[in-house]
Amino acid sequence: MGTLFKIAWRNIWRNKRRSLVIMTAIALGLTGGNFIASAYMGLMHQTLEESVHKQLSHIQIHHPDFVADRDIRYPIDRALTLADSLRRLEDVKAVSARLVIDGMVASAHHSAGVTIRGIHPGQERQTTGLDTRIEEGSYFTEQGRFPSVIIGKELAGELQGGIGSRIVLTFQDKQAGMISASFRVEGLFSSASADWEKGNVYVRIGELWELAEVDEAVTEIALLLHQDDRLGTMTSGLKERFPGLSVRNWKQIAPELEFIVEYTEMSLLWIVGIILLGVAFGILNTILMSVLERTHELGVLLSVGMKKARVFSMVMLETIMLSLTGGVVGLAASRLIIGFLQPRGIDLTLIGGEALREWGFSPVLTPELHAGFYLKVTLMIVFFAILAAIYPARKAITLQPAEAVRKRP
Amino acid sequence: MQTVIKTEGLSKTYTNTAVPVHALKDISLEFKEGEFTAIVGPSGSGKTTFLNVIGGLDKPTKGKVVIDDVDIATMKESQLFDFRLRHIGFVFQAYNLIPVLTAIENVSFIMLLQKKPKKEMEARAREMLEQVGLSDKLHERPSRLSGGQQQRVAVARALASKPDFVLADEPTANLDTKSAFNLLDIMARLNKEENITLIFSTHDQRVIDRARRVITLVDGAVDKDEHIDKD
Repeated sequence: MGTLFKIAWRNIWRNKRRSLVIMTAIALGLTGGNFIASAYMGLMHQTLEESVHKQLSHIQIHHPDFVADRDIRYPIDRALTLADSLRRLEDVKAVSARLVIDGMVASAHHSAGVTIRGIHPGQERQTTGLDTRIEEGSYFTEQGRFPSVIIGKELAGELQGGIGSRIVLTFQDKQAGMISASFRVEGLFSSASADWEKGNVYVRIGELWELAEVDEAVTEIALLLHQDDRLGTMTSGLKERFPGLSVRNWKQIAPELEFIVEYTEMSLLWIVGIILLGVAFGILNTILMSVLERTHELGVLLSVGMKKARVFSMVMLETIMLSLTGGVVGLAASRLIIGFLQPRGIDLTLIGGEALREWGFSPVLTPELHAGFYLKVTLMIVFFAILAAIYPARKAITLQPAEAVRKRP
Repeated sequence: MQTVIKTEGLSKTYTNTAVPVHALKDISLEFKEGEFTAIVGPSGSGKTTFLNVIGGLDKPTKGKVVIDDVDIATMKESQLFDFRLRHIGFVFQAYNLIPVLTAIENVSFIMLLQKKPKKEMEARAREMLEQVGLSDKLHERPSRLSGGQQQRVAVARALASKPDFVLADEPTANLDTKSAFNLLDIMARLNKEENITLIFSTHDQRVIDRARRVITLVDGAVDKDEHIDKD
């Protein structure tokens, strides 16, 4: 077998230019495919990170009726005690107890529907890191005549109000009466998603309790876990423990995200696969040419008693080695490029990437590709190489030795 | 002397041509151990076809090729591969060698296919290359050897595995006179020393003059079968 490897490897380099051309095609195809894949993968990972760690958290607990009706009349029973007990669980990193109310925001120039999130600033800092996303102003440090509100930059633009401006929040109380109150904009937060910036405002939960006259009411408890892989166990455990409450993880709250996670890699592998399929025809052509040029030599090998299976294996090995050499170069180049760009990010704002925010994506791409993807691509290269080698290898073994040796090289 | 190859009523007709071509007609011959035989005749007389058929590279239309009491004409393709590997050495007109292997690797190749132990294989390959005067070219690839040297490596390869007989199809066709004589001397010496039966097709008078048996084919049939006493 060792000699077969030796012959196959040396055969590749008999026509250096031709082999280098196809190796370059494989390397370039892979680099391009992997780069596109890494950009998408990064985009999806950023979206997931944004959604899970900055918006939804891993698990949310609600009153079952709140899920359908999002009404202040459906608070969680003894929520603060519950939140405290959840905080003590080993897998739980942080807990945020919120009073979430759908309402309206209005300035002198504009009004819009928003979700008003009454929060404990400290808890929210630990759970969603809202304080780290304050672009202008401060994060609930001021105590003035008007209560503070933190709004998104997009919403501030629509309301035409900056830091210190006053806005009015309107929402229903428990008796379906309308409550309006003035708030002073203390800070502007940013998010990868323009919709989130437009649709959410944060106020202190205590001030919302006073305005809505609901003493210590909490409609949502958000849990951030230490490890993503504990999600399933924790969700089922909490469901079992609190059968009277709605316990949902981010996959159940936003199934589209789950879909993205599940199918992005598969779709990207398809893209790389299609590129490799195209390259496979190039490989087939190269190996077929090489086999046809060696008719006499293959005839000699078959004549002296080299079995057809060995000749078949030799052509297969040549193809796999040729493809893997190009493939390894392509994989290494992808790794280098992605490794270089990952910490720096690719800023797409200069080429209109800002529009990505409308879809909930960050305009600064952080390409990334995990080791498993590289492994799968390597296996795909071998698969396509085998596929491309079958025809030339069959051609080689259908040669009649006596006829083949008569062909001049 | 023991009979190595025996053909009985051997015929070969090619039917994949516009008109059927009768390449071999009713050839019955016997080749004894250690013979040095030239198959001669004009182009198209059936020399190469005869060698192909007795070498198991082609099947006869009629007749038998009996080697080691076995009619190889009845063998399956896979059996023939194995038979050729174990019993027959081949030397072709030119480009016999695997270009990507060195001289010693080429000589070892058949033994490698026969799965001989590495040490034995290497020692025999060195010995054979020494016998053909190429001990200083062990690690040269064919492209760095002259045509004559390449044919000597081919002869060394054919004989290294100690086959029952060696078939050479016009081995000197592409060689200059000096190289041709040199190759013939080596083949004649090895024929004697190793007692290997050598059968070669040729229309090269230099080769014919060295042979101890000359079989002349004309239009696919044996015209003459002469034994020449060289002693």
